[in-house]
Amino acid sequence: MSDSNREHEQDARIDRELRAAFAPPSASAFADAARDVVTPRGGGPRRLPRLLPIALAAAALLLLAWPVAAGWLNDRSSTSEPLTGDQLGAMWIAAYEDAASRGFQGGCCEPSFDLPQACLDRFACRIGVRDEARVAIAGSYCGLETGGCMAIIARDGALPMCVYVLPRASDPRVTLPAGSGLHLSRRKIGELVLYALAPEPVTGSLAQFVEL
Amino acid sequence: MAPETLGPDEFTTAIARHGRSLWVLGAAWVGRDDAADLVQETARVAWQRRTDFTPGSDVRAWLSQIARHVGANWRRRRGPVLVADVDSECESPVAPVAQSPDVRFDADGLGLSDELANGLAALSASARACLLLHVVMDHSFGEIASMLDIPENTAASHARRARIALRAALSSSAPVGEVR
Repeated sequence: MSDSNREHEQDARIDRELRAAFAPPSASAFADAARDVVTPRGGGPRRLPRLLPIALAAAALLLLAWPVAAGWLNDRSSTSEPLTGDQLGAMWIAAYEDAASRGFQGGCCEPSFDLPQACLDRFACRIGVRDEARVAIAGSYCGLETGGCMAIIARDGALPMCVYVLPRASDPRVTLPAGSGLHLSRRKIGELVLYALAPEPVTGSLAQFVEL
Repeated sequence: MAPETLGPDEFTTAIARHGRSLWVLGAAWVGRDDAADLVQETARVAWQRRTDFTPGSDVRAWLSQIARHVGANWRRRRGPVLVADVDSECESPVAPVAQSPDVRFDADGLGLSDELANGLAALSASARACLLLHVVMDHSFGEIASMLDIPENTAASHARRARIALRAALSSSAPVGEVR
């Protein structure tokens, strides 16, 4: 059998098997799903999405942590219990995924965000990125709760990341829950601590942040 | 005056019209078993974010972007467990764990040969998507490119390389004595 005939037969087999295995449902099934989203039925969606258990867990942590976080946010000397490293990690993952679902742009961050000024206003010290750094600040994240930390969206080249800034004195040593699939890196700068959350190790990214 | 956002009827029509393509994209992105859930979650997120959509722009591309981002989050959670390793002074990257295929295809359940199931799992999500959208939905590479936000020639290249890889997977199971 010639090579071209063999390839032709293989292609025919590939196409036949793929079309049979991956034939999608009818358009009417998707119309029903869309109507369920627009006008939820009393019993809720026909099928629960895989994300729901994790979203519920994050929401539960948020509800438990909110009174504590509100106290921490409003008064650093408050006697309220601070958030634990686990709680912050779960919040930050939820915020990262929220930002990721929006493509890390538009609607969730303020492009005019001035990092050094914002740090000066909030932490009494100026933090920025080095001149000619490859890290660029895309803006502040302003979606889900992040436990009172300053949340920033940045890019190291094409790699997006969320950077969280908090005082060293308030750092609970954040850890990530199992199964997040994300990397967390940490760096102290002066009296602040910066954490970077990204889908890949971000070696050198945090090193480009400096005290001005 | 043009509407400023997607209304319920326009949204339902868009999902009905493009749902099948989103399902095939989802099957490539997160596996066939989760494709329906991904489309439903995509619809939910898209409805919440409908004010982000610019009327008159490519709604399929917009929905595909949401599906890809949601699917990427799902795939990431299925990966190996990564524990933060905090260093006291310097940035501490976490060493990555060796990656196994992020999506598996049940040959028996799908009616696929083992060779094709394994070959599909070994492809990147983008390559799988380009091939499946072209073969199953008969999308042009221009349409696929807009769904995946990649250049058209990249989409064509992905599909071509994916097909070559699947041919190789079939050839590797050739009976003893057959000339390869």
